[in-house]
Amino acid sequence: MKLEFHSIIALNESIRAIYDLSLEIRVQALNSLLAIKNIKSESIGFSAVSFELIHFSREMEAHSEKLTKLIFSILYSVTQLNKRKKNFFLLKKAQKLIPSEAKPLELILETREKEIEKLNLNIQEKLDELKKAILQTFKFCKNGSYVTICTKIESAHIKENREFFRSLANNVEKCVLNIYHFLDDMNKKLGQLS
Amino acid sequence: MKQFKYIYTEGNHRWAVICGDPDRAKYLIDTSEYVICKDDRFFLTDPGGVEIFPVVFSSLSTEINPKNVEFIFSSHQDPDIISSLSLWLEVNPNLKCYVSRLWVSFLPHFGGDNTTFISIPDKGMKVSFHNLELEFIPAHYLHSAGNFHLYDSKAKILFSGDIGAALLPETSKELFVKDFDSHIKHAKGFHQRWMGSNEAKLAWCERVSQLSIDMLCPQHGLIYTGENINKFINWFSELKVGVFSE
Repeated sequence: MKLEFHSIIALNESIRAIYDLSLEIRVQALNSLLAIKNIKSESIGFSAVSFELIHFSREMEAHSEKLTKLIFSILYSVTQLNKRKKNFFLLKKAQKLIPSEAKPLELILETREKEIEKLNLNIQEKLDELKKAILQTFKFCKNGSYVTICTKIESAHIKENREFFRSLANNVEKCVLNIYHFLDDMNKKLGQLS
Repeated sequence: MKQFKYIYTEGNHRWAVICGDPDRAKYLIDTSEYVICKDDRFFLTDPGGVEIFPVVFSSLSTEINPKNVEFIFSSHQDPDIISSLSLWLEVNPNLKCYVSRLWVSFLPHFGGDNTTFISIPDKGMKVSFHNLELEFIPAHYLHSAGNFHLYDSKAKILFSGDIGAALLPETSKELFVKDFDSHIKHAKGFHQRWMGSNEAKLAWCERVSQLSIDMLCPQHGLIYTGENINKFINWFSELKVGVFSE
């Protein structure tokens, strides 16, 4: 496993993008609720889907927060690992340079090697956990797709200011598709790391 | 590999210098580390940067047991001074590091925790190292805001950190300053730029003039002995420092 800082940062950027998209969905939904106030009977269905979108957006935020926590935890462990690896490398170099038979660092090197192995395992476990969390987010995202379809259907029923609602439904659809895209991207990046 | 050379021996009390690595990467500044030995216990001054740890450690290990390095003195906070701390702590986790109170919360970024550091108050202090009296002499703003030198009154050795430092040509193989005038050319620019305060400089000159010194040992370059010590103090007192010129 070769886990570099830039790979982790790239994963974090994807999560950040998902978070922003969730927020955008909520803003769209809130805008629609404001617009609906001016329409009467035919708006009940769209109000319902707007609340669904708000709920979806909040849940998606919770998912992205969970992913962020996992990423930070991985980042911390990788920092620790790199620090230990660097020390291990320098201690080993020192050991090799000692001309005598004495090997004063042997025990320290053994202990550090075990620690590095343990940290590697720990990072692998966290990466597996991240993969699972991404999968769960994928599954949850399906709800978003369903709400998106409902939004589109409801927008077709509205006669007054139809373009606004249609465009809003399209924007929401784009956001959800982008979330899918970023999740897929993260999955691929993680696949390359394993 | 660096050389480990004794520069003072009086019974079980010794000073050694670790210097001159011919294989040193040229992008790294050259440093000298000093070891104060009392019986088989050791006190290391400015142990150096993380990149040179292997050569310092291996050189030291050829002569002494590195696990018996009990104390480290960090004259200030720079990476070439103390960034190897975490590695020395690997060798002896109980090791203690003396440093200015100003840097106690900064150095843990290199390694160690609240049990590692012993804070030196601004006015300096005396400590006993296995019945050997050592004194931390203030050298604030020369060049760091919290800066100390270490004086051993019995050996009459002053470890002077960056004061007295000279950036010598790679060909230099000397240990002691022989020709002061030709040597000091390599020290001038360094002191003008790195030493920030003329007031602090004069205070330091006044302070160390009152000490009995046989060897003035900087962290970079050669050791001053005999009349070269006074020559250096006089030269430094007259040098205008805090000078920036492009």
